Amino acid sequence: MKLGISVFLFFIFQYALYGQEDYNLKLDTARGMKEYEMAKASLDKVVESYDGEYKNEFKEELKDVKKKIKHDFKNFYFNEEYEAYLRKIIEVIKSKNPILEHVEIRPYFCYDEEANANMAIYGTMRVYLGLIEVLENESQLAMIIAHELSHYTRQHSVKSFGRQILLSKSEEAKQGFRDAKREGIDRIDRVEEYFKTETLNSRKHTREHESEADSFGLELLKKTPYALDEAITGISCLKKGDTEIFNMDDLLRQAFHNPDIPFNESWLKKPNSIADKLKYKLSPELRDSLSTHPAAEKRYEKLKAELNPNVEADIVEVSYETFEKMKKEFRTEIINYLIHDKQYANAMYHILKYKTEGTADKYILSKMVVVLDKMKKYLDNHTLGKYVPTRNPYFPPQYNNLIMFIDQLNVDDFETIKNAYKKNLDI
Amino acid sequence: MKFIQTTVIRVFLGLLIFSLPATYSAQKSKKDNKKKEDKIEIQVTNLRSGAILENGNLRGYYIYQAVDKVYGKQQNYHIELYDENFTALNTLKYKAPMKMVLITSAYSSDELCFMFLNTENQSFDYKVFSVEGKLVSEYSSQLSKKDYRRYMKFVTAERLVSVEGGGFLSTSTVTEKSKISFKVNKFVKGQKKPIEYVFPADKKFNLPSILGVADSIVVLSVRSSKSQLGPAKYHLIGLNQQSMKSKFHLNSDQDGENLFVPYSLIENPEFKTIRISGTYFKPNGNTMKYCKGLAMWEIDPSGVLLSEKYNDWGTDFKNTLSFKGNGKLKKTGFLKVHETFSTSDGKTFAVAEGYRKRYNGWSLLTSVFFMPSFLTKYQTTDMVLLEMDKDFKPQAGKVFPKKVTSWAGYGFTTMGVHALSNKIPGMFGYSYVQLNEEKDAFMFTYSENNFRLTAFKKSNFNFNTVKFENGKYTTDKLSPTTNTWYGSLTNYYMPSQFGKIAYLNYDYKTKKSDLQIIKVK
Repeated sequence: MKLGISVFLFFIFQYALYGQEDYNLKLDTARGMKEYEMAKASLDKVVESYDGEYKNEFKEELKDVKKKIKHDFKNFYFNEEYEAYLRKIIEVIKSKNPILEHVEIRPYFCYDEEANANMAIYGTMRVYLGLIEVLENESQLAMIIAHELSHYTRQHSVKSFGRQILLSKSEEAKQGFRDAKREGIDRIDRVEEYFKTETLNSRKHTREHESEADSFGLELLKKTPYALDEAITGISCLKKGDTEIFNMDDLLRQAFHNPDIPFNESWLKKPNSIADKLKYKLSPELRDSLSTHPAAEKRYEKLKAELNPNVEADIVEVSYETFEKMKKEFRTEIINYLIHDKQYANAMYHILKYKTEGTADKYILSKMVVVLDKMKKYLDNHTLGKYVPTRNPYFPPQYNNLIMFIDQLNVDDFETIKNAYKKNLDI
Repeated sequence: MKFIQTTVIRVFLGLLIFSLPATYSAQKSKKDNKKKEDKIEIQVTNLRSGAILENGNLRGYYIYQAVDKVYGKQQNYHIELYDENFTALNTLKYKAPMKMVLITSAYSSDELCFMFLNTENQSFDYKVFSVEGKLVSEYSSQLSKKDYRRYMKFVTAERLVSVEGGGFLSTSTVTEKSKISFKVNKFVKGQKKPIEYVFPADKKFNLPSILGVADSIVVLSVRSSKSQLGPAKYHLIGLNQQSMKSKFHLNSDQDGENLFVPYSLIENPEFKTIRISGTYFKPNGNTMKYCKGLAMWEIDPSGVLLSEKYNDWGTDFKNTLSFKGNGKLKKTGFLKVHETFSTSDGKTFAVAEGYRKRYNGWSLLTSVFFMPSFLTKYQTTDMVLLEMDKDFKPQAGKVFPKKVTSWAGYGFTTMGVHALSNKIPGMFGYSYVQLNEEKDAFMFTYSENNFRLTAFKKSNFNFNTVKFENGKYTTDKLSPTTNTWYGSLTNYYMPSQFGKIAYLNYDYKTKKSDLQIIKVK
């Protein structure tokens, strides 16, 4: 009897620790659709208020946008406390800047591990959970919010659409297009050149908007009680998300080596590839030119020059405790979401990253077992390729190393490393 | 790998929507509401696709495309290059006369070579590109009218392989005094003209196979026969890798007792001689019938035959599997050896497939009343793997069961196995064998019929793999599902990196091609 109860409790415990994959993901589809309807209504208002040239063409372009944005409302993270916190930060900025008096935006958090935020033409501000992870304090968050508010206030999205429409109507653009289109054996070369030039010009234009949003965002913050020198370092923090300061091979050895179940070095083998010699379609220089944002360091230096060093302020934050609480909770939410979304390699990457940073609690560490079980199951039925990407030159290098490690594992190897991992964690 | 599809590049004035050609993900062209003057549409036709190999190891893939229209008999061609995971690399672009058919490709250290048939000029054209995508050299090998017509009608001699240490070897048909012979071209970096060797044919049809390079000697096997499918003899040719001058020329039936059919080189750095494995037959040259067993010849670099080893099915392989005296394997039947290969420890393996003849009982019974037809049926049975040690002594054998596939035969005619496999394409399930880079592990693949009346949305065949790695055999089976009731009629399995398979499926409903890289167990 006692043995039976013990076994029963053991399985309940195992289920509680590993069996629940969707740990209360705060995805509310119904509310997401409600926000989608509000976004569509806002888009109509944008069209009504447009006072540029070629209003009909503008209306047509935004009709296309309406059709495409529906899927953007499926991964919102709904938490009343944290949404209220975001709104309070926006209120602080608005209250000190009369220019923002009539600006109405709807801020939300989104399930995404990327360190980013964006402001949509229809008034929805998305702050990704991954952003909070790289920021250090509320002042930095306020800077990012002010940057996004600037995009909305300065109507950058509207201007971009308008610019493209004007471009399509200008005689110069039409002539360039006709030259590209002209029949001839070199037509494909001309078309590719035309496309490359126009894309680079468009990206350059976008980078100018980003620069303007940085400067205007700083101006908005100057009147608030946020620490400005801290705030501008928020821009540099964005680069943290892309910077890998760890060696994935070492992390894998640490995580999956146990004296009783030793790590197999052949798992870290890096296969030869034709790409070692040939170039990929997008060279690093071209990728840089196609980037929508200037480099983080340049942005920080520019803002530093614009900062008035004599400004003194009593630093007041909305809530230090809420910010710290969010940071801790969002790590768990990111892992849960990545597992829910079947991004297993990404989930594994983040667990190992948090582990090496010392920010992973027992719950996050235990999720590795779920991830390994899932990958083993999908490898067994030949569908792992749908959930784990292949090595890609545009991925961060350590992420690629992790992908190559997963690629080397057989079904038995997943069981081996899982056992070693559990032994190391004493679970 | 060959699938042809057409996609469209679209560029619109104003808002840049450049729909890149979905080279392995074809989509039906979507209609748009743009005016004609505000859009540019360029057609891209995928003509051919294939794997890029370096010394037998997969390095990437290519897709050969004709881009845009023909202008003044000139056409734009793109060769889209992909790495082993199908991530796009740079594109090789050039203009050439229309009607260029890409035949094959090879990759060697830092160059890519493509072999084309120029149907306009009736020549083989070779283009060598650097890894930066620049065209570094071009060669053209003119075909006579007869050779050109022959190429279009028969399977002929065209091959292209990379050579370790750099350079490419290519074989192509050439007619010598009404005999269809071949020449071997060696392309050397920096040289404008290739170095040539022409085979002195003694029979009408001569088909070469490049076995490999051993001790700086290019070893070829040549199948010579009076008719294309008739009984054949084999020659073993050794050419100096640098000068392409003949070092040796041996006839594979020179001992008068056996006819040796060479398959592959046995590679091992310990061996100072050239060892070649294959099968052997009775000396009358009738390789259409079943073979007697596995054989190995040892030749020194100057061409002296040092030793011959013949392992008979019924006697030498008796201890490995249940072979009968006549060479039949119990329950499996006779063996058709598809391939022999060696691993880095000097062991040799042979992949074979069983086949047998059965009488069709029902037809026999009904033939009393009606004209006899389909009285016999030919069946392919299990896969068999045989292992020989460094001294070519039979070591072990393993049977991998496979579903029996039956093919109707007319009357009581006996057909040789080679005739069978030529007349009934797809009769044998064997697909290919692949070794890893270190040559200490291998995988062979085969398909088996999976047709059943209840096969709703399932493929018509299974694709099986047998992998030998770390001293262990692992088998796996792929049975893809489709969304058409009749299953997928156009799915292809292709080699990928070792331990993986590239699976391409064309879905008739959605008009989409889907390519997956599947890791096998």
